[in-house]
Amino acid sequence: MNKVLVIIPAYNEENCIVSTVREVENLCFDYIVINDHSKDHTLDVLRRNSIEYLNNPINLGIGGTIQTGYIYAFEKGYEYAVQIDGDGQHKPEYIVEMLNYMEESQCDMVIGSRFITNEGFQSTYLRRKGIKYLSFLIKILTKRHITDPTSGFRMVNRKILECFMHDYPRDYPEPETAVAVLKKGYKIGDVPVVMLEREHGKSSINFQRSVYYFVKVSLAILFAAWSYREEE
Amino acid sequence: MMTLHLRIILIILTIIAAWIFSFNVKHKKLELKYTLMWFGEFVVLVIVLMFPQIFHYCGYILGIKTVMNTVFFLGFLMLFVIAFIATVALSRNSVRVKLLAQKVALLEKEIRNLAELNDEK
Repeated sequence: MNKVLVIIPAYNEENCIVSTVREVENLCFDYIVINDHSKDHTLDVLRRNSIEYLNNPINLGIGGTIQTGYIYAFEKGYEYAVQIDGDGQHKPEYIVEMLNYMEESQCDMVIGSRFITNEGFQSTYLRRKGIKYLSFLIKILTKRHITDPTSGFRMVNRKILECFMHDYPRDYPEPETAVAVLKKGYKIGDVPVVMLEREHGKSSINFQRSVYYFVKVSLAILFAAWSYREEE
Repeated sequence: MMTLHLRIILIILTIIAAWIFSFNVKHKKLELKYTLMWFGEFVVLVIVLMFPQIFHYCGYILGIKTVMNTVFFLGFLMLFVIAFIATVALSRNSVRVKLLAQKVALLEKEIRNLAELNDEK
């Protein structure tokens, strides 16, 4: 058995889920696709192509979906779990680099960051500013610099898996869980990655939601910093 | 001062509200557990409306001059408590539903795996 599980959340990804899965298979990693009650034919596509999948009976949002994957990874005894998007934004070949970095640096979590080499798809100007602001907020609260706190391309070890399977936010989970991990005294590293612009589908964050995102994520980071004390 | 007229109207409204809740509990649309706090509120309301001196006394303690403001304030306070309890229940249920959905997803995969094993045999 492989020691890494690739978790691929899928919500209305009938167009690109198969190619993403095949890429992961070519790299010989174990994977699990989690269909978050998609409204399109994602489930049929998964069945027809005999892809390993879990099927949420109701829509749980990205946080709940990833958490399902973490529970699965923990119960199946995987050493590491890495999350990649089902829409082709994250290139699976970076998983190898992330794994190497994880093992060399003894980090507990490794984030694939767009903003180390600043190559590839960099997102829009406003979003980059938003990400800068989140990095700044996290720096103030934890004194650590996270270059890409919103990246969903993250690998965690078993210790973090165990934390996350008990406690993981429902929506926009990345920044606040990074703070929680740091506050619990675990180490986060980052590896430069190049992300692609999504092939199909739209980002889950549109303009109206960005206000909600801003308020919710800022508050969530503050609460995360407050809830978890640094372990000496 | 609250007029007798107003007090009678409010008592009738409270009784109607209590009846609506009872009707829904009877037809299993509301769970008695979560309506208890509403019934508590109705009882308090009726008592206070029958003895409006209580309003005067509360207003005096809180430093509110007009009786109607005391009525509004106490009404707001009771609704606040109920809304808070409801929000706590909602949050807890949301976590429980998520947990159940995740368990269902994991168990369904186990079942599929077992079915496949059976087919192979």
